[in-house]
Amino acid sequence: MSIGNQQSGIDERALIQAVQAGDKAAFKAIYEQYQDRIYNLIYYAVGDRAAAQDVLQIVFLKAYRGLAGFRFESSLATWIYRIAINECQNQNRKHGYEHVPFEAILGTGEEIDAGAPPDELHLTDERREIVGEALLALAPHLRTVIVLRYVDGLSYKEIAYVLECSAGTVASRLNRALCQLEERLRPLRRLL
Amino acid sequence: MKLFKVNLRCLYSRRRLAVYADGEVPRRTADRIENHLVDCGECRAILLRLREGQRFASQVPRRSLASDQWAEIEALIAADGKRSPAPTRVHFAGWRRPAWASLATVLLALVSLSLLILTAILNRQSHIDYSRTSGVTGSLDLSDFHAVSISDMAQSTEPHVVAEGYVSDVRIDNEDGDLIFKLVDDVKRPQPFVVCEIIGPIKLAPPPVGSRVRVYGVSRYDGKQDHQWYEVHPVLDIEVVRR
Repeated sequence: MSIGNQQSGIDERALIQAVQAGDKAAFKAIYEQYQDRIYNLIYYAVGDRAAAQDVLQIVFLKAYRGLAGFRFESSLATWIYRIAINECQNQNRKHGYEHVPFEAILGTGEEIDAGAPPDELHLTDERREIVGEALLALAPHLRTVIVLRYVDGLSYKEIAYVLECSAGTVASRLNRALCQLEERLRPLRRLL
Repeated sequence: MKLFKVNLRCLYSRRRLAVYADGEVPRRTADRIENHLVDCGECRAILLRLREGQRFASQVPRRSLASDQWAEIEALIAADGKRSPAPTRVHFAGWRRPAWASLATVLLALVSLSLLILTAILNRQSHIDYSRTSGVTGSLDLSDFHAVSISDMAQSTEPHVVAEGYVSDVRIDNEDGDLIFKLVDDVKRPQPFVVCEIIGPIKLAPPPVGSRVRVYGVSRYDGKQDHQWYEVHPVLDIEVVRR
């Protein structure tokens, strides 16, 4: 699955050219198209909602600045993803954002099983929250590769472009990330 | 010799198992891995773990923005200059400067620092009461900013505000390294206050403590447990009313 296929009929090239001509409304359209995906990626990279919002602002400021030099050599999506990843790395280096430890949120198996059975929809949300927290317990570069592949559905080639590494490195990181995620969630596999 | 061959096959397969589990290896590679899996329990176990990991990964929840950030981004862009985007190069991790460029950058930084220090000394000596800490407001439309008193900040729904008050405290935020200062109505009373945050992309000098200033920026509420206060964040410009 390629993220290029996820465009919703908007002529992206025309939007970029409009931004390059100084049309701020066109940039707003680009922001609206990508804000959620980019926020999601940043959130899992820095592990903090407030910090993710701040980083998102800087990413789109940099995207706006950089669009004049955009030469259509990559898709706009992967180009913005790349800015986001680099900004997350900057922020993580600068501030060392920490997330609440997985165990602190998850508690023990007994605590999870206790209480009245919740309805199915609520249970699904709960399961997803547990998986989300488990992901945050991995190293940032491992979280990122999981989000890019399994949440955003990027191809290995696209991930390699975004992370500026080889497809082999992507595969090796995915190997490690998936094994670590499985290891963390193994005790809860019946629940998930 | 047999053991050596088995290890090499394991190595070959394990490097490709995640891609194989994703169904993204060519048919010939898939055949080779499958032939190996028939004989190797360890690699089969790893494949099962990877598949389980993929099942978990497909349940990772997608996070959404709690509030639209366009007003803040628009303000940042406005502060960056009212112009079509300049051809700014986006620097990536793999990009390397040549050695002479690093040296030139260091020299340029030293010269700039010297000039800054010199300017600061001259400004102090001549007691020039400059009204702004930077020229950013020149590129902003001041009519976009709504005057809000510090005590009324909680009631304001305007994204772009200008708040006037006394600077009671200037420090560097421990969390993100940004410059922050407190704005109060009365220097002798700590409440009510607004926290003003100067972020990296906007180059602004912090105002002196005790000075009366007008602060232009984006209003927001910081709901962190140990914060829970109103902020002007980012600060887009500072006008010094009285030193």
